[in-house]
Amino acid sequence: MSGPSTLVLARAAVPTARAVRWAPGASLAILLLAVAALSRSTQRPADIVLAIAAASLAAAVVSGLHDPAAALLSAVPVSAMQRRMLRLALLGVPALTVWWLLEALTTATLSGPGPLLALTACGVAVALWAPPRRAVLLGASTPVALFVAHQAVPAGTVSDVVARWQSDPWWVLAGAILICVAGRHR
Amino acid sequence: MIPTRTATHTTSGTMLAADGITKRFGSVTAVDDVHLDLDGGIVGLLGPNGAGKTTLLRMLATVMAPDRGTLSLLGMDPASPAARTEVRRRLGYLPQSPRLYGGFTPLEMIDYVAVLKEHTDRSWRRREATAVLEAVGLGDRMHQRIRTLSGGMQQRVALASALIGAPDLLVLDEPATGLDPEQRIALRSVLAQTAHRGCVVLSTHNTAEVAALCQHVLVMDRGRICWSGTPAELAAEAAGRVWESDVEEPTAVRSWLTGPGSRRHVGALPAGATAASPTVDDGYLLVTRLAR
Repeated sequence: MSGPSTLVLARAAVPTARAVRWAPGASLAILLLAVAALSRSTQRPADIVLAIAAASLAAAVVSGLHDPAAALLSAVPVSAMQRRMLRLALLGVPALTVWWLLEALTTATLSGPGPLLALTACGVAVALWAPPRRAVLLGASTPVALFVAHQAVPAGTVSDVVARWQSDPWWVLAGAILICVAGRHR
Repeated sequence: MIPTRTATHTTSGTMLAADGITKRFGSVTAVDDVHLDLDGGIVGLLGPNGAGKTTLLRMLATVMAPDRGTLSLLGMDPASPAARTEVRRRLGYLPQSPRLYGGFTPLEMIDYVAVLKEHTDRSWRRREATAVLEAVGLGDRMHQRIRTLSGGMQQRVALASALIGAPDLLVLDEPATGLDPEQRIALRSVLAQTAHRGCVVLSTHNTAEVAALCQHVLVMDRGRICWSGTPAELAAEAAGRVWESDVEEPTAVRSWLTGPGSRRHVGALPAGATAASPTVDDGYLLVTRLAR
């Protein structure tokens, strides 16, 4: 009695990648790269561009968890969590590549993939614990909501807490991962 | 023919056992203190909408855990993650109204399900996927995109995905939905082959399907199993309590039109009426009404 082998997940990678809807994420990546290139050419501050990029890329990665055939696959030995992890791995590679390209194009103070990973992990944590029917929608909305809240909330304690994904992304990531681990059987 | 595998029966001989399983959603009790003990064959689950059939099947398919009570599937307790994975290796599940990947072909879809059922040998998967698609009558459509197939064909692709790997336990939620009469007959022979080596539990609204296919019937109402027996016994429940007439009968438990001016009734036979031959339909209507 053991979990699925690495070989099983490796075999599942290509069809899983085919099952993911890539077009929205690809369009978003092109748009973000174009905006980053524009801000570089006009020498405008790029911090906000990278913050928007972190939120929107994280939302795109989390929305990739949507699996139309989830009900049909709900009783296979490879668990829903393992299938989600596979999707996240597949979606994470291009998202990080886009992030690094954006960083290379801009000269923002926001550096490293921490904010992107922190927001993505927050989105995944919400998706795991939200009611199944709205899980991915709520999860994908979380990074955007955190970004908007950070912009909208006046400076103060609440704003500091909301902005943790930027100021202390690795702690936020660690916390979100713990929440994900607690919900691994969901 | 679907591929066969030597049945790996449990030491106890019981394929599926439930002891007082209960599932609640908020204030609604979807499944209420259900006890089951099934050895094999085809078991039909009948019941009105909202009776709890889908919730019960989801628990039997390890998709959902009961809030109370214990389950034993293929001799294992699916509450333990390791045992649940092992059960799933020998389980086929068709949910209600399943969705598929429209961009895949049926062959790719079944191959993907086979991978997720931990079959890593590519040639084996190809052979089995072809066999199950032929068994459900999609041999000539296996390379066509799923989004171009009709609803009935998509339902058969989903059924094929449940059949891949010759499961010992097959849990099917309304498998005949969207199938035409010819396809329904084909479905019966496919399920009969699976039942030969294991256990098939299916829900349906079609009593004719149950009469033709199932060795055992469970009738559910309001989350409980209100009747259990063979299709013949279910029909016999209405023996001497079915009659036909041209007028409404106030004493009947249930009445329905069977043609212009002709009505069929179940209930206490009135004086002077001649009892009609009972069907599974009659028995089902009677037991669900009497359970209320």
